Amino acid sequence: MKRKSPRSRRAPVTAIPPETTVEQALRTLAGLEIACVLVAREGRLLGLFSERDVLDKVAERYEELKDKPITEVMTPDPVYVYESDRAGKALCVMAVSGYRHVPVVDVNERILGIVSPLRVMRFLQSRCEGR
Amino acid sequence: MGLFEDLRSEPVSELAIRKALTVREDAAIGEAIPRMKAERLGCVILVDAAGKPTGTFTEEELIRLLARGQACLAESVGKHRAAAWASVSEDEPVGKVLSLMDSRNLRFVIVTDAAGKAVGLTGQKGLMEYIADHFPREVLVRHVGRKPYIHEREGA
Repeated sequence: MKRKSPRSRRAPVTAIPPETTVEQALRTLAGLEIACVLVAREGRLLGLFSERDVLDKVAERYEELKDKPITEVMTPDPVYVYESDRAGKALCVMAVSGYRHVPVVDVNERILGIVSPLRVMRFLQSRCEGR
Repeated sequence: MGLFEDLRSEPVSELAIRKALTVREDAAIGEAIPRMKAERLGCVILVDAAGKPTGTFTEEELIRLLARGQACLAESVGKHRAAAWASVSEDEPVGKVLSLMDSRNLRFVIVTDAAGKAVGLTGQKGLMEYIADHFPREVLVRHVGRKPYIHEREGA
């Protein structure tokens, strides 16, 4: 797998500022029907807030946490890949680390997008069907 | 053989199958959450008295409900089941899992035995691991981003 991650499979991405409240972040996930948002300041990655963070940290304490900043419950310093990395590297981060969403950054560590299992699945299925 | 050939020929039992976390349809969402957390699973399988699956309740439904407030935790998983779900038997090809997930926009697929009873769960994670097994050189990643070494699995 020597192909670089194509732009269509790492964008778009939703990013929120670190001051966003837990309630606002949750509404963003629900409203956009997405599984993950990146937490960023001025294009630089600070963390990631996903469905799993909601289950693990928020669900049973929602009323207590909903007005807190997202930085209190996000996954800080998530594993990411560079745009020049092979697509297989992002895939293996998902498989080996268990992170389902892998941010993609440029050489200046600015966010370019995200690789998700859903996008990998769709890519594979399209290849299986010869689309 | 190559990945695409294996997807067509290898059975679902070749995938990493997670535990079938089953609940009754009338179980409260608040009861399901601690079990999902404990097993690090984003999905519970709703089953009838015979253990046959009747639906799923996933993190996606949880987020949609929580956005309306924590009162939802007292409601039943059956009332808020996922709109779409699917199952495969252990001897069907791995490619069927991929096809179901793509066509129905699913993250999880229930694995059933010959009698139709839920025996496990697979999905995006299982498929990622399966695909990664076909690219062993890429798995030997030593340095990813700022983290030099991955110490433990995380579900984000």
